[in-house]
Amino acid sequence: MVRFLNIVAVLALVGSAIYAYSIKYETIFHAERIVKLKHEIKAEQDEIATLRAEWAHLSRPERVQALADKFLDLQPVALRQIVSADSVPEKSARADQIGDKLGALGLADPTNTPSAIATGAPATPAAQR
Amino acid sequence: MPEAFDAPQKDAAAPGRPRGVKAFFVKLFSTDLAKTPGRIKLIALVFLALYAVIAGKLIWFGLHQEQAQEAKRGGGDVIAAARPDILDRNGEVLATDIKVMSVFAEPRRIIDKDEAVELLTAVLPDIDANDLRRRLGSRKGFIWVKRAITPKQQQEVYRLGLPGVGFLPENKRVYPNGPVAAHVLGFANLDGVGISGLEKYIDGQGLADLHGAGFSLAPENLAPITSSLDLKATYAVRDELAKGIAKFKAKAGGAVILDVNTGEVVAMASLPDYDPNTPVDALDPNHINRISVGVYEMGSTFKAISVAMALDLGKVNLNSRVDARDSLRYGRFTIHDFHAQHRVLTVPEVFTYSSNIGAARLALMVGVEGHKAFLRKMGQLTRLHTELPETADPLVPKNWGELNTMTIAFGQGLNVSPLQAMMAVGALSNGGLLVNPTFLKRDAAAAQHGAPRVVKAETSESLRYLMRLNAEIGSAKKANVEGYFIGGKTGTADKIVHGHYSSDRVFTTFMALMPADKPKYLILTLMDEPQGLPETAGYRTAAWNSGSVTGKIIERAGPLLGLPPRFELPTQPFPLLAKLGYGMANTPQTGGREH
Repeated sequence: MVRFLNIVAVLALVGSAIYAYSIKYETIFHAERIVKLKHEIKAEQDEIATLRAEWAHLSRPERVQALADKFLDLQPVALRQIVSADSVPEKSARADQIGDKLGALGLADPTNTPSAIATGAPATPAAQR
Repeated sequence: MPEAFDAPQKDAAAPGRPRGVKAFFVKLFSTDLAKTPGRIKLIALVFLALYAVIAGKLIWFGLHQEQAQEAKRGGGDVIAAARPDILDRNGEVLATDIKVMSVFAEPRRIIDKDEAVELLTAVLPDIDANDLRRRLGSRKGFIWVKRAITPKQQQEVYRLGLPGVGFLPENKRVYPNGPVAAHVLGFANLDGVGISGLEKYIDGQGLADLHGAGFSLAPENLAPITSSLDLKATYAVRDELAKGIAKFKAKAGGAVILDVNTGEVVAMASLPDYDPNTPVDALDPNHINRISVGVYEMGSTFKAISVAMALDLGKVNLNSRVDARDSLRYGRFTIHDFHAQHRVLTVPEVFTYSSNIGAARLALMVGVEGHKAFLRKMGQLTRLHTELPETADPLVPKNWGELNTMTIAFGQGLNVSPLQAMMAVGALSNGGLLVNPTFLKRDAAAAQHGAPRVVKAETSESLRYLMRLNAEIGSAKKANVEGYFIGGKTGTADKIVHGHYSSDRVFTTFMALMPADKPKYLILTLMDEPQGLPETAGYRTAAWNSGSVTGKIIERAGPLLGLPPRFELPTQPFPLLAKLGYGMANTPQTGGREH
């Protein structure tokens, strides 16, 4: 009996030691991962800062103006071209006779997309036969 | 003692090799009570020696560890500190930090200095070999070889495999927009210390103290600073000003858009300027900030202050008449009008004809002391303090007599910074509150809280009416952009050359208010020595150069600032004046002079 207890005690000792060591190594592993991820985050943040600076540099008005002058066939907006939203005219009533007839026939209703009703791939007539 | 128990071993080993070895081990592990004390002492000694070595080594580590750490810590002190981003009012980046690698060396750990210098200069050709050799020869623990190198250069230096040469990541300040807004931003040096402009202001707000206390701050921990500038408007202003300076062959120029209600400087340019990414250019005295550091005689734009003063103190009203029939004599001085009318002028006519005589007479009605007190109240006699550290004291005459009052009334004899003059005109137009200009974003409530009232609301409205009238029929017609209900005032000051007013060198200013009925922005353009052109009929007065540039700035920056143009004129732009019985203020005027 004592011998059995001794064996159990030894096994328990070995088991707990293995468990403790595995926990320890796992902790080290995770700690290393945290450090690594922190470094990666830092590198990403630095990269974002660099890209933001680069974007600001590339989209600076001076460059955009030079590019617009070179490639766009546009002229500067005149003050007369700016109107307030209120002065845009209301949408007028529909004066489309053919459209009205089509509407009366029920053709103006929104149609379903084919995929919504189709059950599987459309088969060719030859395949059906 | 050693001989005492060495001797028997020798004796035992002497007879025959194989037997001797066995006998030796038998003897060694047998318990010989006679020899035990000696053996115990020997073992104790050996262990004592071992522990002494370990302890000694520990002490040695303790003493020398600090030196090993020194280089790195030295590096921590010198690497450029992180700075907060500076954004424009819409969140565009004006200044930011990026990470760069810098090469450092620890001279004490470099084995062959000449080889190191040779290899480093081969990879980094722009460093001075002699200087590097001298610095490597010093006894310092840490020196910079080169700051801010490219990744390719870093790879090459890394491949050299030199001991005692390493890299440290640093923050480098970059200004993506180059010279746009350079004077407002200022710049920071390689160590991340603000040298001028907003950068220096940020350091003054405690950033430098934090760095000094040893906090290593990462840029993401620092809240960005939102400036009052609008990047696009600032660029537009700078672009139009540059075109104007080139066209009129001026020596220099400046332009500002000031929000009169909040005191925010929305756009600012001073040319010639510099690129803050290459800060050496900033030291050129020709590159000073002409808006806040330069002090100038503002010329006729000062008449706005004189007229407002006389109106506010009740010396005149809009219907009063001022005698401008003859030149005004004072001692041996005579004051002439540039556009002499030789008749009695009404107060609005004094403004629109820009009559020196009229302005001088208005100031004389107030008197020397009253004039001084009013200008002091308007902040024209003391230094203007904004976030920018670069400011200048106004040049105030020491003995201020009646003659000074007469000349200052039309803008000669008192040098103020243009931003200072704008603050005063802004107060005269925004309803009478003197709002200190700022380069940081703020709202109207915060700006007007505690802002002193300097003139009555009626006076402010009268001045807006006068500026509007001047844009309709007076000298500010060139900037009367349709749709923005502009009001304006020109100013042309003869420059002082060798103590005398020169007749062919002028300093022209133009102030425009948009819109004049509900004031929002005050725009100033100034030009130093613009030339007359054939298309301006040879005139070099403000209306032709600064005025036309201001018009272009308004046309371009107005929509950018989100101010919708209105093409139907407001029916009742000046309600207070109508109540006071000046109904004519609300009817638009046409005609008038050409310049």
